[in-house]
Formats: sequence, C-alpha cells, structure tokens
Amino acid sequence: MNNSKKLALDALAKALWLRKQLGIKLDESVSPIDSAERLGVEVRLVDLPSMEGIYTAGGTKNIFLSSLRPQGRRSFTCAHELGHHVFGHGDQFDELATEKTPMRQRDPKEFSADCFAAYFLMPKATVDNGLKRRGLVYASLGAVDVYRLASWLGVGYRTLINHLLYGLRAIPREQASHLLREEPRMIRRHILGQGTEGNLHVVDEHWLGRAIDCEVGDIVLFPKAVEMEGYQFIEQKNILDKKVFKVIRPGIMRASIRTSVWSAFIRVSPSSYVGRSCFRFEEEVNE
Amino acid sequence: MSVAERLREAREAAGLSQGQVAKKLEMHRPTITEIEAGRRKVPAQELEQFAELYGVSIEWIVNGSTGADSGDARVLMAARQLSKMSDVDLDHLMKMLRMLRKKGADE
Repeated sequence: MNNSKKLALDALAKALWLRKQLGIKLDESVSPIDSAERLGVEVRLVDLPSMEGIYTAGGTKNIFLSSLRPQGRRSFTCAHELGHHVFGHGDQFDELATEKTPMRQRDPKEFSADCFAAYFLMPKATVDNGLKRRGLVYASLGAVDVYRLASWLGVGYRTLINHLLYGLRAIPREQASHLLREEPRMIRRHILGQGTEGNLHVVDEHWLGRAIDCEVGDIVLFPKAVEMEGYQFIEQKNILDKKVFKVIRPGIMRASIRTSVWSAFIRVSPSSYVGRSCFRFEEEVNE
Repeated sequence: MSVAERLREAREAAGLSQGQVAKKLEMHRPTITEIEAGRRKVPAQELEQFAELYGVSIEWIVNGSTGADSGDARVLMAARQLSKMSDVDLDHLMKMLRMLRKKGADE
C-alpha cells in the first residue's frame, strides 16, 4: 500500500471514529464548528483576508476561520483544522488554497487533514443515504441534484464533485468533468428563475442531521408546505412546489411541515460574522 | 491601552454588541457604555464575568499581557515560515492570541 493510500485510510478511520464519538449517525450531515465546540476547541471567525484557517495547539486549542470565505469552504476548512486537532498535529496555518505551494500540497499533515475533512463531512454511507432518500442514483446525478446534496452536507458544489470522483470513486471522470463545467451561479439562476449574488440553500424533507445554517441576506428554498416559527425570514415567492425565503435577521428558529414528521432548526448568523462561534446566532438586542 | 479599551476590544472580537452583553450579564446597557468609556470602575467579580463571556484572559484585560509571549513568539515564527499570510494579518492574529484565555492561567 502506498503512503497516500495509508494516510487516506487512517483519515477515514479517524473521521468515522469521531462521528461515532460525537453521536452523529451515518445518515446525518454534520456541522464541523459544532463538533469542534463539543471537543472543547474554541472557534473564532476573523476577517483576515490572507488566511483560510489556523489551528493553534498550545494552551487552549483554537481554530480561526476566515469570515471572508464562502460558507461551504469555511465549513471544509473547519473540518480540516479539526483534522489537525484529532491527529494531534501542532500549530497549523492554512493560507488561501489558491496560493498553496506544491511543497504544502505534498505535506502529509495537510493531506491527512484534507482527507479527514472530506470523510468527516461526506462519508460514503452518508452520501449514499442522501441519494437514496431523494430517489437519486450516482449515474444520473445532474448539477441541480449535486447542488441540493452539497447544500445539505454544507460543502461547496465543486468540493462535493471532487470528493465523489476522487474520494468515493462514485462517479466517472467524464461525469465529474461535465458537472464541473456548470457554474454554481448559473445553477442558482436555474433553480430560482433569476440570479442571486447571495447563497442559496436548498432544503427538502430529507434534510437529516445538522441545523440549517445560513446568513442574513441568503436565500432559502423550502418545500411549499413548510411552516416557520420565528421572525428571521421573509417569504418572497413560490416556485412550483417550493417556497422562497430571504433571511433578514440573526437568531434561531424552527421549520416544520404539518403533514409530515419532518422538522429542522434554522440558525442565522449576521453576514460575514466576526467573533466567537458560540455567539454567531445571537439575536440582535435593541440598543 | 486602558482596561476600558481592552474590554471594548475583547467584546468586539467576541462578536457581541453592548446590548447583547448587557442582556447576558443582566446589566443595563448604559452600564456597559460607561465601563467601556472608562467612567465606571469594574469590580473583580465583573472582570471575571467579562473575561469568561469574551473568552479572554483576565490578566490581559488588567495588564495587556498574559505572560505567555514565548508561546506566541513560537506561533509567530511558525506562521511566518509556513504560510503566506500578510504581515497585517499576522499582527492581528498575534494580538488575538495574546488576548485569549490560556489553559489553566485563569483557573
């Protein structure tokens, strides 16, 4: 077995072990920030443009995440830093991915942390189950299907495709190339019937696991029969069997469907929130 | 920098408004304003509450240092060697690391 394969298998084992330790079922999506907090790691969102994420191991364990990155990428970076924590690596500094040098890409610690993040957020059983519940199969996965799954898993569209190709070997290269040619911006336009600069979260009755985390200004698509308990959203319009909501203020609320047993918590943070992660969903207080 | 200024800096770094802090600590919002303006003294018990809420060291609030600078220097050196972070961002990071509560330091 070559070294990369061994590192990847170790990372897979660690990721599944941690999910089990935290009581996260294999059919559930997971919030890496919540997981880090449960392990006693202090997570802080900071507006440092030149960094992606940092893990400091001395004294109190800290993870710093850039609030300036897209939500999916921030989530993957948090899981990556959590990987450094679980593997007992020392202080780690992860700058912008686009600026990674070949030397860093070959660094076994970085490779292990990347594999850990991918398998922690997207284990095969979780992705399989997510497809099955939605009546989907790998061979015919389209761009909108992948976008829905990525929304639920809390990762970026391209991150999920690359994991399906390289990590899970669930789709062939040709299908991955075809999906990667689709721009998330255009997929959002296709789903909504109009363009949106903010994030679009596609929520369905098959959403199991983590709360639906979004930011003020985001757009969230729910099944038409949804009932909201809270004041964080305004309803915008109906699209076929979906309702479109815009997120307007921070806080925590609940969504449910009267005719179904499904319900989920929705947690809203300010846009590009900076601060301790434990306060990111605090409601505003009239000054 | 004064205690009052450090309290404001720690609150902002924690992501809380004065109103949110007042609600959590069951104080009046103007009290927080007065404290952060340096017009009201902060008893030791309240200092502990602020430090806990903001996740920072009491020593840092009082003195502006935590006595753990050698550890910070190690982090800084590693960061400079390993990453392409800008100097401005590194300075910001070091400032934050100095502020944060160290394991066992305040216990």
